[in-house]
Amino acid sequence: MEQTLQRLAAGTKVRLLRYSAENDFTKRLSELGLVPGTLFTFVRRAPLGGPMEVLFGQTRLAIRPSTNVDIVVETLP
Amino acid sequence: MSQPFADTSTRLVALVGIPNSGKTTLFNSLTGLRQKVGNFPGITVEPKIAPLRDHAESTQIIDLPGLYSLHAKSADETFSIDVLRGDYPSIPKPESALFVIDGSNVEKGLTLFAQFSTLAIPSAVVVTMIDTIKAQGAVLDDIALERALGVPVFTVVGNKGVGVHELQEALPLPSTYKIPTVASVTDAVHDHVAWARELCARVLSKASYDELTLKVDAWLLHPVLGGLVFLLIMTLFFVSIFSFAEPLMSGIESGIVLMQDVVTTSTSDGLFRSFLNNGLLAGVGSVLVFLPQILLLVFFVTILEDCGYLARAAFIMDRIFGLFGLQGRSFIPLLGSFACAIPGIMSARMIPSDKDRMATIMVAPLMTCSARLPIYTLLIAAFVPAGYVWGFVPLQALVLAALYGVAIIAGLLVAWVFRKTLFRSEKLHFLMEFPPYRLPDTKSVLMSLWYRGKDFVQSAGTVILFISLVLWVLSEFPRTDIPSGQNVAPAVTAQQHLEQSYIGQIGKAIQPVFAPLGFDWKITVGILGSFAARETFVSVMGQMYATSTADGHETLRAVLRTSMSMASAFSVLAFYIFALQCMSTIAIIKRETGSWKWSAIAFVYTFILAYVSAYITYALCS
Repeated sequence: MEQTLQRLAAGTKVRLLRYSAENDFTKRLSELGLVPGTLFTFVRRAPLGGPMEVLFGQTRLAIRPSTNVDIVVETLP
Repeated sequence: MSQPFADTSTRLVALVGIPNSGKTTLFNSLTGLRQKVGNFPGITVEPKIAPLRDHAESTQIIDLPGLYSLHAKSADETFSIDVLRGDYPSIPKPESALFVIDGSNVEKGLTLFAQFSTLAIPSAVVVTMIDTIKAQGAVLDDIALERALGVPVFTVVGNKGVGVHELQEALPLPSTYKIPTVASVTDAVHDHVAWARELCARVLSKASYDELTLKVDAWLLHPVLGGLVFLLIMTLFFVSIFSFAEPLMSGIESGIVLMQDVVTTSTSDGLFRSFLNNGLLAGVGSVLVFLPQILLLVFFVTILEDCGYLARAAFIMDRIFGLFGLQGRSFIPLLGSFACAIPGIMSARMIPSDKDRMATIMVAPLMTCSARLPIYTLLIAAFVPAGYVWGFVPLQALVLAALYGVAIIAGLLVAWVFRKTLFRSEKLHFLMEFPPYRLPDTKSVLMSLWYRGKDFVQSAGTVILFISLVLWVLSEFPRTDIPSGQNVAPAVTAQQHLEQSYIGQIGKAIQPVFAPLGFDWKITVGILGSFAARETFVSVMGQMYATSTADGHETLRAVLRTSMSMASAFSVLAFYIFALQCMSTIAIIKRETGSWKWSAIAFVYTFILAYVSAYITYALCS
């Protein structure tokens, strides 16, 4: 099922489908390996809310998307 | 910069890699230098060029800031790309490159390599931290990697020097470098990633993130505990800096007093003795007294940075900083600015967004740097009683904490104003890697202490000493003859002499400007004297009042207690919370923003804040 990463609960395993728009942020995410098709875990949100932590392979990132970009994912069982 | 390239037969080898990939550790082992290494993405703020150890004549190494792609998104990356393309004015295009891939971060390194290969620079690849691969029970097939990349592949254990010797012997040889031949990769990023991911799966038997780090972070980034641990670490950070530094500082102060005593007993009264005691020793003392605090701050920041905690702190602080238009990455420059705004402002280069970076730079001077501390300590000790609040919180410590608190809140508010006016933009994104936790390398910590200490004594120290000597001259001359009859006390004579000296005349001429703040002409001289460096205020006060306490060994704080009103003292404190009285900071803002305009704006807005807050404080207290 298609969902926006920002609205998911932490602890979910997901597959990246696409970014709703392209900007510096999504370009950099792609360069770091988060391209459509990538499986990753949304590990947690920062204390107090704010950035999200994602994990895939050897890569662990802290991300807070700019408000005009949705990270569209599908959740995995 | 021109010196290392005098000989054109020298080969310049660039170290290229993603941030935090072990380039700097490798650079240190290759050159024998010990440059500071951080466990935070993007710590190489200045390019370091040094000759290869044992091959100084033939090979120079340049350590470039890490980058994720050839499409630059920060000042750091732009610099590296310009150097690689030969577009950077003062640095020649490197003949060859050593591409560094972190064993615990192989895929991203390869993604960058796919792009890097399009530059067609003769290169070799080195995989660092090969030990972390083995520790996870994985194996790296370096032969397959060599074949896929078309360049020789070396492996090293960064910190322990294993494999470094072979690399060192290979680097001067032209045959070491080959032009990469990456099989048919298009220009698109997702192709680079797909290629890197496929290759990584082929050459590395298992690629996972460090298990121990994940376990530790389950606690340190826990929604509730994480915030508490952060507060605890920050509290310990500041408390230990003050409590450890205190005995060292009084030790240095007593040492100086001791030497002044020796001078007093071994010279006759006159110009020479005054020069030694009030000019030279007072000046040297006021420089040295800062060292303990600066070194402790550098020590703790280095440890936090090298072990990887600062990246976590940035993650935790992003939300709060976001409310004021900053972002999590601003935390590192601002925390560093509590030691000294100069390295703080320089480390703002790793903030990718220009507007976030500018706002961070402009408020960095508001963070309470260690140069303000001597002023705070002196005036608090003199004017705040040593009692306790609620029976256990020391009142003096509370006032000190309040001064820091006001500075932090003001800094955040000013950042907010800047982001709403001069650096206006919508809220920008935040993106950062979590490095695995590492034990800080003892040598690297010691070297950063040594370099920062040396740097302070050389640059700040000489300014302070120079100003101290100028002030001594201005306060000693013109030497007027004041009749010293039996009925006039020596202290009174000295006082009259000071009033008639050049400095007294200058102070009195300017004093009306500061009169509304409750500053008398002596304080005015202190403010003027500390124009280039805040910390000079204490030594200037020392010089001003030493003259009036020529006999006896009354301490400065005791003298101030009787000769300055409490309202004036608090007014001075309020002034220094904001005032940007530091030449070096003004110069570094110019260098980092590329314009004196921003230095001027920073100086003016901080001065206005300082003046207004001192005015209000004086009005409230008197």
